[in-house]
Amino acid sequence: MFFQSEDESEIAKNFKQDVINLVLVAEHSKIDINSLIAAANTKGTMIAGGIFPMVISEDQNYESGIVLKYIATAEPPYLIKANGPSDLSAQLPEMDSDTQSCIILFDGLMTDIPRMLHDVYEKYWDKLAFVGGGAGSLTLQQTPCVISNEVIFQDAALLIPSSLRANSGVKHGWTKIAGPYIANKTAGNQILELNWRPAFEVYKEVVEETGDLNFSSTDFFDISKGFPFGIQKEGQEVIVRDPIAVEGNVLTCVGPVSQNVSLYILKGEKDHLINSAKEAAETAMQSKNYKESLLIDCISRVLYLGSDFQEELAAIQKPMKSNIPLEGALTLGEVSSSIEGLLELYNKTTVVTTFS
Amino acid sequence: MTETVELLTLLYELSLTNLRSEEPEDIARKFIRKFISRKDLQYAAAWKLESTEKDSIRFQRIYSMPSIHQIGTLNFENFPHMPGPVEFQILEKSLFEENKKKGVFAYFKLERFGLLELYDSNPQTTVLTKSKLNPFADVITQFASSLASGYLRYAIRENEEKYRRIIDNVSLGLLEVDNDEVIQFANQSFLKLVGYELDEILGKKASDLLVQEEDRKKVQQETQRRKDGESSTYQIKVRDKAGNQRWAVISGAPNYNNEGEQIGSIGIHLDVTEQKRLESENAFKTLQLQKLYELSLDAILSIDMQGKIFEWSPQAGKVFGYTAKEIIGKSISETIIPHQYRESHDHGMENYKKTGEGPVLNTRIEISALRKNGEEFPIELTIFPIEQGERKYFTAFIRDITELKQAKESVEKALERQKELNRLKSQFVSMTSHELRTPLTTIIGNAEIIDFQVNNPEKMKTEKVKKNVLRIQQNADRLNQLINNILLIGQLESQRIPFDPEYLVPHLFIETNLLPDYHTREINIQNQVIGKPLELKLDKNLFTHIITNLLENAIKYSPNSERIPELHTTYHERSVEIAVKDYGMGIPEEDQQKLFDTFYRATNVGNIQGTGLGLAIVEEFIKLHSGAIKVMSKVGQGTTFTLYFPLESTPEKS
Repeated sequence: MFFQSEDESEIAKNFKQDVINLVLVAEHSKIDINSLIAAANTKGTMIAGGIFPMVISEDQNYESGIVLKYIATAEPPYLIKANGPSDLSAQLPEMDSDTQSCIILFDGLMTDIPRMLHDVYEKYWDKLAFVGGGAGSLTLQQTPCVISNEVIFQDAALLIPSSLRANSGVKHGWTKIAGPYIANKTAGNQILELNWRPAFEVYKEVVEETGDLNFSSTDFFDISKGFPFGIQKEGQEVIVRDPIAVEGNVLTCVGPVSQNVSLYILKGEKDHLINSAKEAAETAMQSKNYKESLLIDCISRVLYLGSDFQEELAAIQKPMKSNIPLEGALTLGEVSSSIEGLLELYNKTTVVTTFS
Repeated sequence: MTETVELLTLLYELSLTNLRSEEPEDIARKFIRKFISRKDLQYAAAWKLESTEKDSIRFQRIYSMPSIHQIGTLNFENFPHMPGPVEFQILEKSLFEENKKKGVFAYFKLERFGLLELYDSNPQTTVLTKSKLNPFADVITQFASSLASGYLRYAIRENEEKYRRIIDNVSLGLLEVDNDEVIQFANQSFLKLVGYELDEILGKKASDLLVQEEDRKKVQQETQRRKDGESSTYQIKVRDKAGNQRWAVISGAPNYNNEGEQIGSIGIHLDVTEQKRLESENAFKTLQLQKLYELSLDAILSIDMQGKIFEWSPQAGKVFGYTAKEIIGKSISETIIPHQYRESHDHGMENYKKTGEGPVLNTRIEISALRKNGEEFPIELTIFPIEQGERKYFTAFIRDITELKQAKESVEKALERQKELNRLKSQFVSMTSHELRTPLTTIIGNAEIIDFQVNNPEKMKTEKVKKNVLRIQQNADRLNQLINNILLIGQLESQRIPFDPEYLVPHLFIETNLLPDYHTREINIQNQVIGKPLELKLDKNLFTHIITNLLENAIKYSPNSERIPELHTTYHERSVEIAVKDYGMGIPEEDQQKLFDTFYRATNVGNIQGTGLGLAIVEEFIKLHSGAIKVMSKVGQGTTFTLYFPLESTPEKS
């Protein structure tokens, strides 16, 4: 359910026992999260969630407001601290055998998210299906954004176990326009060289020629949000890496780009993107008896599609059961995997999940 | 075309995963992660052959994602499914019994040491098919080669680390320098010696940093010897980080590279600072001991367990009269131990050998020892048993206390003498006052009787007056004699007695000058002369006093004797013996010793008057003549005083 109220007690009134009360908070909400946590604790209820650039309810996306969802579970949420006293892998709990899937919410601006995802995969690869995304502010300034029964954390992740089976559809709809290019020189999430030439020089050449655009007269992100990179994955859509900034000839992406990886430059067509979102929804809806759904969509799709994004939401909502509302968050990086599916960090991707 | 490009790019990526990796696990991790991610697999593992059992082969996990099991056991029945040297196998189940997953498995042989295992959970996909895997054969061969190199590097590094650990852990400091003495390496022991961290000394010139100014020339010479291909051992002072000097014995050798070119030298350093300090201390202590040994006022000697002397200090030579040359090697028992102690010494040595104990050890005793000239003399002796490993011996400190003893005796005698003198003085004063008062009282009493009679003529009887007068005269005489004797004693003590000896024939002098008086007094004395008369040099007055005193005593103390006193003069060849014998009351034995002491009188004299000074004066007068007097007496039988006058004291008459 979606609340635009600023009254924590009104929201807390809806908190239930014996489920995890998943709260997806839009970053411009006026609500006091600490009061909300206190109210949950007063009621003796479990609370977990995050603060995201935007939240989704039905066919709308909101910069303020809270989505509350009930996650049926046999166990409480687990907080994993990236800078905790022990290794991240050592903090991962043994899950209850009734647990079938897990929502993973994490600080989308913390370092080494792939490492965390790797550890999670190591632990639960053949046991759980995952869905989730990165919390945080669209300003890309890191702030506490992971909500638990304790406080709001940054540099942390939440594992929210669910006793329902999850089935996800993952699509982005971005298409290759150039490549492959060898990212022969990278450093973390920075690309320094492509095909042994300055990275921005190559990127600029392709993008300016394709889109009849000019980086010298337009803000970098205004152009780059429509031209992400793609990493080839056999039998799958490419994995998108979103370039968000340039400094000199160095491109900075959301998510790491490993050395010597082959990159494609992608382009987004509105219809194509919306259609792929619909396909993702259709894949998720293949589980006929689903009782819940969750939409994790990339905030950069909103930035790119603008007002057309509602069309994407409508396309996703269309195949869904009418009694199950479409709710979710617009995130900084998306995650999805089936049981025995590799846990990858996506960008610019739509993840529609049904729980049954 | 696109598919080919995609394949080529993936092969390119995979071929480059090994570039910056050295550890086998790191190489495998990068390769497998890339492979899984790009081929959308769920599991992959690199295995290393560990051991071949009877019916199975055991593999150790190099890396897998995820890490399902560490050990892979390949049973006998699966041997036929093993991939050949260049091919790969696609199977519907795992080769390893530990993996029960269902799906498609592919296996590539990794040279001769291992397997690459790939897994796709979904049999519907076509990722792990022969045609899809064929293109990866070469890159997997390359991957195997990288792993093999990694293991080789790992083994080399392990070895290097092992030897580095050995080098670091040896207690000897190791320093490697180039031909310009620039430090290339130092082990932990060397760093401990000099107090530096390795980073602080690497690249610095060893002699500038670590060698004392005075030793630099020596180091330069040694460096030249290394350049000439020589090894050598030398000793220098090393300066540590804190500026302290430390002594090191350095064993230096030239250092060569694989091509046989000399690239510098290696020095093994043994820290001998502590040893040097101990040596210095020991040298000082040895010097101290040597000085003590040489200059000690005590004689110091050492003997072995057989009692043979092997150490003989200079003072021992002075005390005993033996030189070290004379006595070393000789038995102590046969040289300096007096006969009476030899048996107990030998017994003591035997007892120590058996029990390790000895009553005279580690304590100071007084005993006597023998000088070379046979003189036995008192010593103070302390003996220490010393054990040096198996060697046992005794060291003795001996002090000659002859003079000390004599001095002590002398002091004791002087003290005794002083006590005696004090006692005698007290006695003298007491006796004198008594002896003076007695005749004075008699004189005064008789004088008063005479006075009474003179004033009462009617009662006066002449005979009685005469008697009183006689008593006064007698007591006056006695008083006079007493005073004379006291004066004589005083003169004797102050050595002011006139002594003027002249040649006399003693018996003639007695018969001529002394006996007539006794005839006059009607006292008979038997005079006898034996032997050939000699002339002696005698003081007439003193000789008269001696003989008269003895004859008077003989008469006085024989009041009721039936036999008369006797005077025997016996002339020997070189002496004259004069005996005065009476048959009187005799002298108790216990009194005879002190008979010649002043004022001493025998306890049985009763009322017989006497001063107790006569014999003391007689003895002193005789001593002035170098003579002697002896007394023989028995109570109730009489007394004989025998005088001896030696001729030696009398010069030959020319």
